[in-house]
Amino acid sequence: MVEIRCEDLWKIYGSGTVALRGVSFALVDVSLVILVGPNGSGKTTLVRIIDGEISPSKGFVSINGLSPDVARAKGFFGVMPQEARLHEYLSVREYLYYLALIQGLNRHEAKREVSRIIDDFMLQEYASTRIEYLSAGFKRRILLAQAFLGSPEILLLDEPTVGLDPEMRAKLWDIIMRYARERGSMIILVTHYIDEVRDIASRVLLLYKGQLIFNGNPRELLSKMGYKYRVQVRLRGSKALETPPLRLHYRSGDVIEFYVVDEEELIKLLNYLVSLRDWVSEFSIDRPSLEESYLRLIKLLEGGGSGQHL
Amino acid sequence: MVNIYRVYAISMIYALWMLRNKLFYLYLTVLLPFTILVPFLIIAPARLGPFIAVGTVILTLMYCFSTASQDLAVDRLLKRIAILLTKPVTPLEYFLGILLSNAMQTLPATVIVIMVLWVAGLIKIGDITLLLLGLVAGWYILTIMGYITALTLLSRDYNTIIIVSNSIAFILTFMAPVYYPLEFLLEQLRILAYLIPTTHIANIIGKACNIEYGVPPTITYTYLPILASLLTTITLKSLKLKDVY
Repeated sequence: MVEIRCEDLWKIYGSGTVALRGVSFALVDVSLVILVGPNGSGKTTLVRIIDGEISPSKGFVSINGLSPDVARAKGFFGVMPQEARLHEYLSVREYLYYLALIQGLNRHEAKREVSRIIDDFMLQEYASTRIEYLSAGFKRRILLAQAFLGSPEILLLDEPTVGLDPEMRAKLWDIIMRYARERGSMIILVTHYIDEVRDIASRVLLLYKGQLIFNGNPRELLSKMGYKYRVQVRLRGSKALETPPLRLHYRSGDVIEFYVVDEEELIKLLNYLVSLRDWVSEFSIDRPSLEESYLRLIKLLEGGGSGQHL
Repeated sequence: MVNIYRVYAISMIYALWMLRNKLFYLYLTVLLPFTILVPFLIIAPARLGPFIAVGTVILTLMYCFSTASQDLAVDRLLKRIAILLTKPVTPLEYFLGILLSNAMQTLPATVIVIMVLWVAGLIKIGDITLLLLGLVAGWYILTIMGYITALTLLSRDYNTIIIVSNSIAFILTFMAPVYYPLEFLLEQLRILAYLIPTTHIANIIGKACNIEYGVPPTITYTYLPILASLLTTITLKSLKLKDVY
């Protein structure tokens, strides 16, 4: 079981920039955590404090009761930094082999581990190629692969799929999700593609201007939208609606959007639409995305003052 | 506890670039030392030839200083260090890795330079043990000086590190009596020359080649171990790898 506790974390850089403002949370036996927030909200700083790369100005972090420095020395972490480049004059296999040794494996273990990682990340074809000759997508894949060397207890992946095409992104999500399921590692994922991992994420941490404004599961974040379904109806002509069953709706020309809070309301609305069937040309039902919920929270904060915990 | 595999891996990550780059090796073994050696030999009196030869060896060894200081700056600039810093590497292991990497890069090049100078009749090796001692002292002290220079300057930008490290390299190579004997310096400057480690490294290598720099051996054999211990203590106790950020 992996446990991360952050208590009243503050980070003030030398330039005076306050990156974190009293962030506290506990992650106990959670498999996949999504860390989200607008640019400059402190996500990368938080990741770097957790893995002991930098120290907080105030507050503390403990990893299974250990300080980040001690946890790092014990090889607890596999990290994919947001911005990092590889030693490109090495081949893929050499680079991963040396990093496996640095991770603490001996020569035989390192060779075995590198072969496994090369297979898992589908790098076989280019294993002997110098990294400098590979495409940006492959380099990104190697950057991600090195984090998994030695099956560390905690994986901190800072925007692992940024800049990749959808196909490559889907492949990398598959790999990450498989590790989350099979290896028992805790994965902390900084990403803007939150809806791509919403189904397997067990926790969402939302940072805004250095403050943790949401800490819960994806379902709880979705509930912040205030509705569960969105029903879009296109009418024939400009039919005036008489006593629609929902207070929450919005009309623009011949298109009406209804925001439905539960199944009971949905049935009521569908019955209403049946009564209007001669006027309805088409309709669709969808669920709000995690990204929409997240953006709504941010909008609320920007409109209604920052720092309010939701 | 030092993990030997880790030290080896760090050294290979840094050394392989140069070991695979034949052009750069040619630069280090031929172009850099001999473009200075040849004109110096032309303009200086013949009796200074052996001093110029030892100076050429020191210039090659200076690569330890430049690499240790500039590798870290380049790694930070290119954000390659970010990955190493996320791994369980201690400052001591990282330093030993850099030290070993420098040994792999510079010592073979220095030996090649010495062989060429020896074949050309510019130096006569009288004491091989003393020569090795001088080379090892040069490798260790210059690497650790470069490492400390880089870490203490890392809050500055890349160009500042390069300018400062080049300036120090020039002082170590040309302001110290390595291409010429100590007597060539003004009386007041001799005390300063005693403080520059390359003065003593050249003195040891010079002694191994029967060249008299005029620096008392007691000063050399007292100063260099004290300096090495001091620099080692600074590296291990005061500097953290985190300072790279």
